[in-house]
Formats: sequence, C-alpha cells, structure tokens
Amino acid sequence: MPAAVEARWRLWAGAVALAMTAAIGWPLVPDEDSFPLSNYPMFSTPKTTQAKIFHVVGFTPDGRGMPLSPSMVDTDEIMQAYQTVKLAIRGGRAQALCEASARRVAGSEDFADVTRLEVRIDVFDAVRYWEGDRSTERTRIVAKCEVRR
Amino acid sequence: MKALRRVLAPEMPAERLAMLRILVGLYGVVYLLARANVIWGVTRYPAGQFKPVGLTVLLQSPLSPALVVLGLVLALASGAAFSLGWRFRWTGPLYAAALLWVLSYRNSWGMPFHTENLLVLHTIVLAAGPSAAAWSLDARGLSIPKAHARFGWAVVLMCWVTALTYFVAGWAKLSHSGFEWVTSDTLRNFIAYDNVRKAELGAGYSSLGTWMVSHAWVFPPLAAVSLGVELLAPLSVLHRRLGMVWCVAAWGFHVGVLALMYILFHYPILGFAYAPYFPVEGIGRWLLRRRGR
Repeated sequence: MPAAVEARWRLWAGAVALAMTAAIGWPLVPDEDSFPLSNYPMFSTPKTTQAKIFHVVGFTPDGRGMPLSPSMVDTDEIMQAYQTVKLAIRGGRAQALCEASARRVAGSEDFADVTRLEVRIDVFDAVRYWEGDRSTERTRIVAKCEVRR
Repeated sequence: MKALRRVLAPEMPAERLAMLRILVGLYGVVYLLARANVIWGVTRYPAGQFKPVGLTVLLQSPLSPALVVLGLVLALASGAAFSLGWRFRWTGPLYAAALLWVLSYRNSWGMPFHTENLLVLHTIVLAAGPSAAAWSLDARGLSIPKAHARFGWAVVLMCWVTALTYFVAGWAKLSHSGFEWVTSDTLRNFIAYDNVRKAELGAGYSSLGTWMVSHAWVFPPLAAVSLGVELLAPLSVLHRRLGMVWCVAAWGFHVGVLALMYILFHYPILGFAYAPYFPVEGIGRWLLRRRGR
C-alpha cells in the first residue's frame, strides 16, 4: 500500500477513535443523560427503600384496586408508561390522561369490572412491599374519572 | 509504538469487518421492523411530553407523523443497503445517521432507553470503516483483500466502544455513590424498587429478584461483581483471550439483570454487543461452504 494511502487511513482511524472516545466519555463531565451518549444514571445514585410510583389505578364497584397495564396509557413499554403518567402529572395533564385511559379501559375485556380510575402518586417501602406489606406510606390522588360503557 | 499499533490496529481479515457489518446491519433492520409500532406510537403522545435528546435537540416541536414514517422508511432502506454493502460509501453513513435520528426521536418522550445506545455506536463505527471491502455488493467480482490493519482498527474500535460504555456506567456509580454502591443496600433497594414499579404499573416482575430482596447479604457481592465487570471493561481490548473472558462476564451480568429485574438488554444478551471480540468471519465462511455443497 502506498505510504500516502497508509497515512490517510491511519489518520482517519485515529480521528474516528478519538472522536468516539471523547463522545462516549463526555456525558460524565456535565453528568447528563442523553442518547446515544449517556452517563447511565439509572441505578447509579444512592437509593433508599422508598418507592414513589406514578400510575393509574382502576377500581371495581366493591373498591378493589388494580394498576392499569401500559397499553391502557397508550404504550407497550412499562418504562414509557411510567414516564407518560409522571409527565402528565407534572405537566397538568393528569385529568386528560385519566379520561383517555378510561376510554381504553371501557373497550378492554381485561378490565371489564373496572368502573372508575385514579391517577395517583403512591409511596411504598419497596423492601417491605416484597416482604408482604403492600400498604402505602403516602398517597396523592391527582385525578379521578369514571369508566363509561 | 509497534506494540501499541498491534493492539489498536492489528491485522485482521476483511471478512471479519464485513461479517460485523452484516450482523449489526441485519440486527438494526430487524429491530426497527420489530419496534416500528413503538416508533410510530410516539406520534400519539401529547406535544408537552416531547423532551428532545441527542440529535433531536435541533427540533423545536414534535415532527408530523408523515415525517416520522419517512425517517423510519429511510432508516430501513439504508439499513438494507448497509447490510448488503451496496454503495456503502454513501449508504453506510446515511444509515448510521438515519438510525441515530429515528432512535433519538423515539427516545425523546421522557424515557431514554439505554438498551439501544450500543447498537447505534457500533453502526457509526462500521459506517466509518472499510466494512464493505468483502462480502458485499460493492465487492462483487473482486477478490477478497488480504488481512490488513485497515480492517483491524474498526473491529478494535467496536470492542473499545463496547468496553467504554460499561466503564462509563461503572464510573457513574462511583462518582454518584462511591464504594457505598457496593457496601450499602443500594443494589437491593434498586431491585426492590424496580420490581415494585413494574408490579404497580400492571406489568410482569421478577419472582427471583423479589424473593432475594429478603436476603440482604446477597447484594454486596453481586454489586462488587457488577462494578468490577464495568470498571475493568477497558482491559478487555488488550488481549484477545482476556476480551473473551470479559465478554462472558459481561453477558452473565446482563443475564443477572434480566433474572432479577426483568430488564432485557437485547443487543448484549443476544451476543451482538460482543461479536467484535470473536472471529465472526467463521459464520460467513461456514455459510458459504454450505452453499457451495
């Protein structure tokens, strides 16, 4: 291979390698999460047993509660469902989310006995939860709506 | 200097880089097809939920549904060309850019999915290298070039990129929590929390993980192993066998994450993340031998 060609690909390879290394390492500097460059913040910060859950809960006429599945908040993904509820609460759209979810629940056989919904923030002790104590430490009901069939 | 060159740009067969192009390219196309409903699904989200990440910070507001579909079609078409090695000089970078754009947009709705990072980063490296010099439409009728360092650097860079992403994740744990991340209950609390979140959002959760929450002593050793796999990752590029051992350890780490948290990092679990560490050209040669019979 001619020396000039050899030098050219080596220069290109070095530049690409440096750029990729700098780009992948960069999120550590501002400590920011992005895509596809990330500081991978999930599971890296100190964590207590407290679990703050943003979710939509369906209730039957006898008061039995059951969390709605992600498809009832219009996504197939669990994490996206969590963020959708969280952002709706923070963005003042909880009532609209409740009513849109109620329309989907009305057409779902899985939730045929659900008659009302609540968009809620529940705080659990995550370790006690798996030891059998599923009571909430705190609850905030942000929006309520009926399921009309 | 020679030793460093041998590590960073060793002589490698053109077919290895070509096989990686085919594997990662096909993976990306199949992934886009499998996730098309999710990529399209973001068009139903309220505009207020749009939180651009990566390239999409250029956008002031969400795209119209037609443009979302156009991006997906472009990524699929260029992905097919990338995999086939057709006019790779143009379709390689085009596919890398389209994949980056489509997945950045899909991640711009409040929840970046880190499971897709390495697929995009590997695709960028493949697009920047001479990945269509063999086993491609561009190379039809040409003889396969001899093993050379100009093929080796891109393969090593893919390994380095893999290793670096793990190292960054480990470093983030140290900088946010220090060694307490290992010695405290942090890992146990995360596993308990993540499974509560799944249960309270009406999804499946890990029975093994939730059972283990009651056995606190298990978690510090697990945390130490996880952090070790992440922080020692850069050593994996120094020696071929060391790299293979690290790949097995890293793969085991993801199996553990899947078993305890029901989080599927599909790209590493299916082995694609670690493919650059192995002589994958053997797959292509085996297929060619079978076809020749």
